[in-house]
Amino acid sequence: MSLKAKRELNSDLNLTPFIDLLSTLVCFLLISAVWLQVASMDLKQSHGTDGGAPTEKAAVDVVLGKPGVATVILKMGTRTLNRSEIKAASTPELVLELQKKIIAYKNLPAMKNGNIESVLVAPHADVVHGDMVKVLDGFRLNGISNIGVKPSAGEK
Amino acid sequence: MGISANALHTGRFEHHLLTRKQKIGRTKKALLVGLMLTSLVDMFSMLVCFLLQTFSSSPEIFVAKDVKLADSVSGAEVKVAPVLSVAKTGLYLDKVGLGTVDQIFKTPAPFVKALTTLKSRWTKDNPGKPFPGEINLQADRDMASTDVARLMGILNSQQFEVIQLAVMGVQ
Repeated sequence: MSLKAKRELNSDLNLTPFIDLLSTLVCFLLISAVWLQVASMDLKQSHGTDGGAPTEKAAVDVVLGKPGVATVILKMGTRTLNRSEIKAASTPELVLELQKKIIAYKNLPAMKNGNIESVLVAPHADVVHGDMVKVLDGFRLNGISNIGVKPSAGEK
Repeated sequence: MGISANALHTGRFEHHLLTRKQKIGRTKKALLVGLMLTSLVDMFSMLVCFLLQTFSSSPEIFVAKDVKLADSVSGAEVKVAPVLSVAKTGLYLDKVGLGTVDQIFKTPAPFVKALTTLKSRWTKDNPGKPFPGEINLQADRDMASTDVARLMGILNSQQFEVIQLAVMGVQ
């Protein structure tokens, strides 16, 4: 072999370590990939433990009837401020109506600071869990985070 | 490139070995030149970019096969806690089967016992700390909401008061 050939600069990029690195990264990322977007919805079921001392905080009780039907009760401490029935054709419509009702309640003159502290939902046996989650979702979108579920409004 | 046989003044056998080696070397080199690495590297790079974009370091919980979670737009990040899976086929606490929902409602003792064990184990592992009462509840979307609510009632009675309802995050 001549010395001239040795001195020639090899400008080729060595791809082997690059491919090794990429392969390792692909393997790691594929193993740790999350394909299902599982999220969680916090429910605070401990309303009963605070029941000893009556507070002047606004709370809403929602009794889910047959699909699309709900009774909404606004309470301030032990007093009932408002009670209304909502009838909708489907669960998404019911969720919209409930959201409107919550906004209307927040603007009532009797509401001191316009805040609704908590919502307690009592479902009906005809309402499937997926629909109940939609209702809870609607309240969370209205800014109410203290949501509970109580058993049960009505059996079949 | 190898050392030529003439330079070494080798005999016939050594000459044969050197020429064979050169031939093999030549064949291998020809194979390597034929492989196109550019497209492979392109594909790998794109795959890495896509996977890095979808990468999430938040904790994940096991979702039982029978459970189809309800959709939610306001779902928050999942927290690490015991998992209670409720499907029409059965009820599982941390992957351990406890019977069907109807059986649990008729005789809730095994379920209550499992919850008590879970709580006592936590208390033993974390002495001096108040029990947080957190549990991940995965319920099938087609289940009767009253059944889920009744199970929540049992959970409350055993001081599992912070229920994280597992939902499918929707944008």
